Amino acid sequence: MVIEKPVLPTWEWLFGQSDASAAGAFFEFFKVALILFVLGLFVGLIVSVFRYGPARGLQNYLRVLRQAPRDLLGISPRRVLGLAVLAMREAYRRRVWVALMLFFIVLMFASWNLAPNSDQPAVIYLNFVLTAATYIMLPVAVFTAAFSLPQDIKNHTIYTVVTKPVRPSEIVLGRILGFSVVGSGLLLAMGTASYIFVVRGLDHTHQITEEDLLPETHRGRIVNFQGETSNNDRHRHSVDIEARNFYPEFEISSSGTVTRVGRSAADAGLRAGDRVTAIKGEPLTEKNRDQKLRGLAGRSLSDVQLSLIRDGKKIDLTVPRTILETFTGTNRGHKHRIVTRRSGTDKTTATHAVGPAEGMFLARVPQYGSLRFRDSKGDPQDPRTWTFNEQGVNIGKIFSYRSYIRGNTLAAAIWTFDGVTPEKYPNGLDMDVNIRVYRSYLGKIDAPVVGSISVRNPDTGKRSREQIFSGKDFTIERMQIARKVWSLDDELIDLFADGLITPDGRTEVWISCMDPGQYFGMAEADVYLRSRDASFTLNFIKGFLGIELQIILVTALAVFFSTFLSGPVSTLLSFTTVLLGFNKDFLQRLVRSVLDPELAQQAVAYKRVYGGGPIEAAYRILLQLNITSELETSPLTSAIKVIDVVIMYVVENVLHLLADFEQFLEVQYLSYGYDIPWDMLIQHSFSVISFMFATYILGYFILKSRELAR
Amino acid sequence: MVSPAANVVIEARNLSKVYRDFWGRQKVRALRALDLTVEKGEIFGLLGPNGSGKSTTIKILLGLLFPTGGEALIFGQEATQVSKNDRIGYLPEESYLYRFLNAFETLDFYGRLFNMPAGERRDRSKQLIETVGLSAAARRPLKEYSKGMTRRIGLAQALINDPDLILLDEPTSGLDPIGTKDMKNMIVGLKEQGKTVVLCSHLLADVQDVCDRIAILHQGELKELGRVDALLRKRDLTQIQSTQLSPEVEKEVCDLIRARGGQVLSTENPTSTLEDLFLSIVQESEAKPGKRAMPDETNRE
Ligand SMILES: Nc1ncnc2c1ncn2[C@@H]1O[C@H](COP(=O)(O)OP(=O)(O)OP(=O)(O)O)[C@@H](O)[C@H]1O
Ligand SMILES: [Mg+2]
Repeated sequence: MVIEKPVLPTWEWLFGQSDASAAGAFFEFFKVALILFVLGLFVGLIVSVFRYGPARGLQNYLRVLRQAPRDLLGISPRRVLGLAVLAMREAYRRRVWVALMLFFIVLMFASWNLAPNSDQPAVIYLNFVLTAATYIMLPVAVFTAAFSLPQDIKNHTIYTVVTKPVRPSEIVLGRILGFSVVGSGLLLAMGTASYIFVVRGLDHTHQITEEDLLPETHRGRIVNFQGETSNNDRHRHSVDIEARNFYPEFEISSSGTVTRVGRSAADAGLRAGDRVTAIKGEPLTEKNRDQKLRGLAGRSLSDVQLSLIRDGKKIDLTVPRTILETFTGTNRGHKHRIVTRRSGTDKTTATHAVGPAEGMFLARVPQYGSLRFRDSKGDPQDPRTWTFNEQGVNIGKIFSYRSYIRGNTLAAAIWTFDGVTPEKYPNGLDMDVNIRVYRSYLGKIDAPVVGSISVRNPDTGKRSREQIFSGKDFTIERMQIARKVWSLDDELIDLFADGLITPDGRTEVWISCMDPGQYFGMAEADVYLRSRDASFTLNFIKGFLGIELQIILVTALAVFFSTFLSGPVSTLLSFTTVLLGFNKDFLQRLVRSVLDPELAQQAVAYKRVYGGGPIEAAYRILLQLNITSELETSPLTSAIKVIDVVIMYVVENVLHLLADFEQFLEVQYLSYGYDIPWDMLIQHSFSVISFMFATYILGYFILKSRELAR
Repeated sequence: MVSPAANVVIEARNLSKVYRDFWGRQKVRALRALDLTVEKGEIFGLLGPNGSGKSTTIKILLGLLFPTGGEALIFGQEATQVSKNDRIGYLPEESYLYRFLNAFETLDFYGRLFNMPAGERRDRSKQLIETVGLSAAARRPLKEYSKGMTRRIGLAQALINDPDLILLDEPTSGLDPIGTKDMKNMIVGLKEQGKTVVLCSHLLADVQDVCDRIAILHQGELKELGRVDALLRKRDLTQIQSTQLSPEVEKEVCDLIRARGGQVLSTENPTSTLEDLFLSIVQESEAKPGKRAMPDETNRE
């Protein structure tokens, strides 16, 4: 998954960016509210006159308007609670818990054969449980909510309710809340089950025995041991143990004090609390410590001389190197920690302890930058015109959301990042790079195209030497610019201390392609910094909260429809709306493509939808025309196009009213291992709340102007 | 629109109702130009055959239906105003209640709708369940209730808020004679507490026993309106009831009446009404359980 539109901070989302022309959601809300208000006044009058005749209709209409303010403000929490509890009981009576059983059954079947050979089982598992939960919960929510009120009206039970001092809006609100609570309860159970299912389902470890590993020699000496782990959960991992990477078995603090001592080191006489002053006779100082500690590494069972201070006395010891810590190769999206031990007594065998899977469940926290380009001659480009000129090549039909830079030229893509501090990035810049590779000639198809990456201080222009990397299409490459990098003068310099990053934390990352005739395609969201990952468990909860918000939205929608439609019709309409809501993105693209095809072709992140509007599409089907072929110009086709434009213009405005939730966004973030930003959840909550508010108001007017005893 | 007299509880002015279908075509003219006032503290009966518009009237008074013409005022407010419901209790023609709740839950739910605090709800529910005689079945869901039991809980529901005005749509339908009697007693009791009761029924006996004033509807039109005793009294008719009257004496009396210019319409030994008989049997059997009831030996021949 590529995140195309980073989430706006909530404040900006609400009130708009200071410089941008787009108004914030807050104003959008008022605009829509105003439109709905005026529209409601008008439609209400029409309906009332139609139902009760001109004089009576007008009278009823004015009466409702007159009574509304007092009723809408006279909301009582106790009444709403009573109605909510009733709704919950009703839902229970309708056996909504069957959904839960269904979910468990689905999980049971899934545990047999989900993703046996997938590269990214976690993504598939998460996707599966989240999709299952959503698709089971959506119909349950729609059915319970859409049938409740019509049923009450049909059974006349509503008589005894509305003849109490209940405001019609409370009837609507109580239902939405009650059903939402039931939905949340079900989701909580599903979420817990899913979490256990996913985490336990993918939990496994491997074994490594001595026979699995083959020594590799260089000039007669063993350099490393290579092999594979045992096959568990239908996969193996590669193992590469460097022969010269064994350490003595103790831990040391930053001040040089020994904190923990393993078996072999204890046998050699080392104790916790000793302070190491020298390694192999070379004194340990504040400055050279990192480097000297590397000297502890060596071949297994070889000895290290340590000088210590214990209780004020100086001691010299030799400690054997018996332990090695490394990781297996990454397979199916995860790796395992290996701890290899050689005991001092048995010199021939080593034991390998393999840890649990790591990196399987991620909650990456991307920090996005802003992207600009240099063209082939190295000239700066206006980012807006860049995409379609000669240098930022638009390679044909490929999604023009990305811009391409030509290899072996001065063309470069430059990301500027803010807020890069040593606290956030103590070990240098971790980043994910997701590049499209476009080959103008094939060459060796599976050979990667080579690129380079470097950092530059945007103020001083000081830059690091380029690092070489190989760009593979459609993979997210994890890259690191270490804390210490080589400068152009071949010096090892610190990112922060030596001025590659401005004091206020800005820096630039430059990427260019090095293979002549090949291209790299890039968009702003393709490269991001990764500060420390967030908690997966919390992210999981957030993901289910996202589903929950959708369920509440759908419930509100169904209850709203049921205030003036029968149960089956409300159900149908709710499903239609949900379907349209999920495809809102596509519909908008379709509308844009008909209204303004040229712009749709060019707009960032918008693919043009071919085939025209509904009439044109039907016409093409009749004549069996390809969707991309040009229509001949005739009065008929012109008329068709005009009608389509009119239809699409109406559709565009209706789309604005459509519940604005993008399809499974939280779910996608969660399953592809991105931290769900709180901003996103908050913004979605705002949408849901404003939608509930609208339902509260509209539901009042509809129920109030209805004769409930018919 | 404030009602002129302070003690007028219900006022219907020129009320009419036409039921239309979705397209606005006229289906039934259920009510024509109804003028009514109900005063505080009286029991008012709406009488009429099936389909005469009694329920329609009550629903308009409650705001469940909107009048096609005229207007309905309750406590001087428009009938559609929600706030009037604070002081109203309504028992619909059938008890439309949530069948998955039990009696306690039902009353608790309706109590909440009146914004009553929990303690008050509990006390009131308990008291009402006792009053309507459902203590034994209070924890059973309503779907298991018999018709009469449902009626009783319906009544309890109508009284949960201690209303000033109670609208009862056929309160005795589905009730056994004891229940009917209890209901009538309760209605009279409510009146004694100073409440206003409007009930509608086609069972004349009910209405006759309890109502102060009645209105008789037929095909949506008001036919009679007035005090019950006044309406029922027939001034030129006298009934004589007596015991130990031998046929001879009876003949003498008849002769005397004829001699004085009167006309004897009928002479007969009155039978008690079935209602009276049933009532006395049940009362007897409650007094002496297990024994076959032998009420009123003297009446048997
Ligand atoms: N929802 C409705 N739609 C159409 N006509 C209706 C509706 N409700 C009642 N009516 C008609 O209105 C008339 C009056 O009905 P209403 O229910 O008021 O009678 P009622 O006096 O209560 O009779 P009953 O003694 O049987 O309860 C009847 O002719 C009935 O068919
Ligand atoms: Mg009726």
